[in-house]
Amino acid sequence: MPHKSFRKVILKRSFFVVLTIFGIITVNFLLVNLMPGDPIHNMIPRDPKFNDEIRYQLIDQFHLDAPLWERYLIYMKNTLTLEWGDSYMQDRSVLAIIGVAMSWTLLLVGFSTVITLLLGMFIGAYAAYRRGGAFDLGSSGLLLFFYGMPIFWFAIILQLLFNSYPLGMDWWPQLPLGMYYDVVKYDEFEWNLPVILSVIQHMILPATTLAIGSLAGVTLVMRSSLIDVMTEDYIMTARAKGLTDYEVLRHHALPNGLPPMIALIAMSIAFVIGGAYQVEIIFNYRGIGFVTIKAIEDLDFPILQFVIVVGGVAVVVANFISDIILIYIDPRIKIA
Amino acid sequence: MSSTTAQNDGTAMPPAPQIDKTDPFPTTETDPYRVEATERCGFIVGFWLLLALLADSHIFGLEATHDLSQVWQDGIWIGVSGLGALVSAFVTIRLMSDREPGKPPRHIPAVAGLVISIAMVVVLTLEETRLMMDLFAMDPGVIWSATRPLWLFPLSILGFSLPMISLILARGGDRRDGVLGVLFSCAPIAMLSIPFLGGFDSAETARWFPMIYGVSGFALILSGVKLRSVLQQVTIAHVNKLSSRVFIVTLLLVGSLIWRKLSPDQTLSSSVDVVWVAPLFVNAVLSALVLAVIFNTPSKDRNRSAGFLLSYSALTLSVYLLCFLTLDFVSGTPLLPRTMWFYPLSLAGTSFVMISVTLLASETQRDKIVGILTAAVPCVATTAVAVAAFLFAVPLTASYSVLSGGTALLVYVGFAVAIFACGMIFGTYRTTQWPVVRERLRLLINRTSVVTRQILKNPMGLIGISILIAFITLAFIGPHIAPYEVDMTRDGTFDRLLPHSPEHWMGTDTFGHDIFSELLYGARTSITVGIVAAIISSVLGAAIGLYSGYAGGWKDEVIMRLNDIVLSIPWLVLMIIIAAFMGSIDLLGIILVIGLTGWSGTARLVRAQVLSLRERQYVEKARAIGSGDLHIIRAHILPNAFPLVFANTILTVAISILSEATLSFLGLRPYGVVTWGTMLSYAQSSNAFTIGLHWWIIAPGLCIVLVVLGFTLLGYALDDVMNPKLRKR
Repeated sequence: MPHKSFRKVILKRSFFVVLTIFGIITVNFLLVNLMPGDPIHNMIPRDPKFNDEIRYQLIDQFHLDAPLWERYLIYMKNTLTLEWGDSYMQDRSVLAIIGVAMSWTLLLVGFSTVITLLLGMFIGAYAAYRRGGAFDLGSSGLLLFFYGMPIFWFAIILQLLFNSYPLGMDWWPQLPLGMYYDVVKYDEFEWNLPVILSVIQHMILPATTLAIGSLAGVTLVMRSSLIDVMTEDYIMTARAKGLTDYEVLRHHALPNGLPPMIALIAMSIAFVIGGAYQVEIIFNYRGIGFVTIKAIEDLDFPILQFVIVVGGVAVVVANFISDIILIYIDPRIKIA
Repeated sequence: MSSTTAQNDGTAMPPAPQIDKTDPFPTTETDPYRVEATERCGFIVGFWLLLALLADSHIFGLEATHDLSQVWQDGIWIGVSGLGALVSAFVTIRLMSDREPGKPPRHIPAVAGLVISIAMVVVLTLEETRLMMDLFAMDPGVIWSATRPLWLFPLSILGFSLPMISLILARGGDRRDGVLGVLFSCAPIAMLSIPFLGGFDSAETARWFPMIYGVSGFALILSGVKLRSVLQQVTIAHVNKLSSRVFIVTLLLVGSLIWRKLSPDQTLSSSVDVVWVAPLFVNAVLSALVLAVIFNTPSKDRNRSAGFLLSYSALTLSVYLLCFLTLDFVSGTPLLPRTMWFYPLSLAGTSFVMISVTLLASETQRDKIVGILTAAVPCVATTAVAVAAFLFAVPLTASYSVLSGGTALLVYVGFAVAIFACGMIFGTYRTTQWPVVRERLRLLINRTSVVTRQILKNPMGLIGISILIAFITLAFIGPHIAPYEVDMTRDGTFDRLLPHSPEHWMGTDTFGHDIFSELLYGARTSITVGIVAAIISSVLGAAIGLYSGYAGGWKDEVIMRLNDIVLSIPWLVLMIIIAAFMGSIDLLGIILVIGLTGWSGTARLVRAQVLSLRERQYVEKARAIGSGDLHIIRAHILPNAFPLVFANTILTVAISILSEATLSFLGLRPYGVVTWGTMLSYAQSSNAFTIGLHWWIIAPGLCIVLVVLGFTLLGYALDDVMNPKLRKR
């Protein structure tokens, strides 16, 4: 491994990552601060007890009279030290709310990503292997059809499908449509077998929806990258050596077809973390998306701000990690 | 008639100019020092003024009522006024010292500017002292900023405008620069009148002042920057080239009016104004150019004075209408009903310019007459309609009933055709430009037909195109074949939530609209949103990618880092938050939201392509023979990057349609129109499934899937066909 230049590339990349994260935080600050209207009025919409005294107190407390750059510094410091303040509506800190929601979203996304990867790699590989065949055309067509679906629409259709007995088939499985497990508060969540089973049961539909929504991307990239590889000379050599088709695929084609997949997976995970909204809303799944939409309804700004930051940072970090992995597994890749 | 003779005349003239009696604009030698001083002054002044305005509005916010920040805010303006005083003093001394006997004094405006600036400094300092006193007494009642915008900004800018005028007046004999410079310098003063015109709430509108005065600052810069050298080289060929752009703008305008069903006055939204700003602006620029051409051609043609008058009126008209639009935008409501005069006047501007161009450019009498007649049509027709409306006593405040429906359609289509014909008929345009245009058209048609044939051979392309043809036809005829009319601004006429029946194939929705009709109407809006938003984001992305890739170096680095940030921010959330603030958003708003946020992917793609293209040999060779950057981009890079951009645009259309559906679903619904996304979102929020209206959810969803599928297939097929590298596989 070419160590020196390698380290240099990684250093440069990490510098850019830090820069980009700063940029995201800054953009977020500017958006909130340049929005029309008085922050105090946004915060306390219609409270009859509100008077000038409280107003001045709030101005004092939140440094609202400080110039922009000073507020920016304060904001930066608080963001970086994870002092994200409290939610307006719920009596908990933003960090806790986002943390809990994030863990649920990660669970869902992890589950669906595993499904997507397994299915996608298999379908993609097989389609590439039998390129131009019936399976290839059929799967590509079907996947493009899925790709064109608004995810929320598909979620609704699935909900309908698994909450009724189509054509009177009484053996048709019924799946829960959402709502929650036997939990009163998140903090008092207790993990035991029935709860785990219930969680899994509740996750089947949302995870399937997400998986099918992102399946098209994974499969098509897998397919085209394998097709690229399959035309290389070393595949021909491998065949000439007398290796079986499976061996060629497993040992020669797949490893070389993987790099584009990794970038794609990282990107899709990151986007899904920031954007499983539609599925989470339809299925009432209490992840980041659900929390966000609820916060929008309540105009709960502290949460909204940091949802944006967390979503942005997730994308940047995922990209960074995929870059690093790519450099490790494929030293040919020159990343400028 | 040609420009070379004009310049020869100018340079060959002896130092003591013999004044041509028939030429109202004699040219004399100019003192290069003065010219340079003016340019530099204008630039410096405008730059600092802009900086101050930005600092003022962004750091403190003009509506800030915190007394402490007020002090610093005024500090900025004291500084600015001080600078104004310095500039004025410099100009005054300079002009007084080399005043030539027998010439009118040029320094008077500068003296006035000096006085005003000094007065401003004094007043502001006094006021500041008082304010500091009040501050310690902690009296929040002193909100002095409320009336401040009414005089502070106007006066400080006047302090700059006046010395600029002085300089421009003094900078030599050529009137053409003088007139244009004074016009530009007067722009800020014209804008001064804005705050005094309406009786609107100044505290609320103060937020918009930075914008207005920012424009003024730019005008000041313009008056200083090398306007002169640019304008001296303008010839009728430039004007001809630009005027062909005017048709495009006008056609777009007319298209948008037709698309909005021709009732812009019923809901006067800012988007309507935006639609009008572009043609007015182009008009203004064009008429300024025509003026420059007229100044540049010292012929004794009597057409010249007519042309001058017409172009000058067009320029003034356009500028005033632009000011007016700004004013309306600032005050939020139309100050005067526009029905009777606004459209006639703005189209009159175009007519005037066109006529004067025709006068200048036509070679034969026939061209001239036909050109004038066609160019006059828009103006005459709108005026006729307005007069008719007036005669038949349509009240001015009533919703616009004369120009609606079919009549208006005819009128505006008539305008489009007339203006277009006028452009085609100009003499030189027909002889010089038309063969080129024809050749390009032929090439384009050839290439398109080749590509089309290849796409039709590709099964994906064939399926995609068939789906798209079906749906685009539906988009065109949908609203006409719909069994019932759908007006989303009102409640429907039917009972709510009827199940499907022979009368209502898919039932009715919560507002009493027929769902099947909604589906047909939605085809048009959804597909329009997709296409227009995709075009916006592609153009933006391509421009940014081109610049970034071509410029390279640190510029590239900076743009790509910014692009990373834009790419990482979860726009969906952001849009919804912004929407939660703005309340409702109209269709144009949705299109802009999707179009303006979706460019970063395209930018990346184009940049990568440009990076490889600019290293090619032919680019190097082009550079070696001295081609400019713009030429290389236009002639070598853009044509080679275009297939990629085009295929990508088609794919972006699919994504935009999906984005619209998602935004609607998450609560960002365009107001007053029905799209498939809004249908789905209403269906979801009223639990369509549980009440048995299955089609309400299934049909729009299926339509979206099919259209997206069609665009995606076509996009992939295009990619296959246009990128020969892929075709090999």
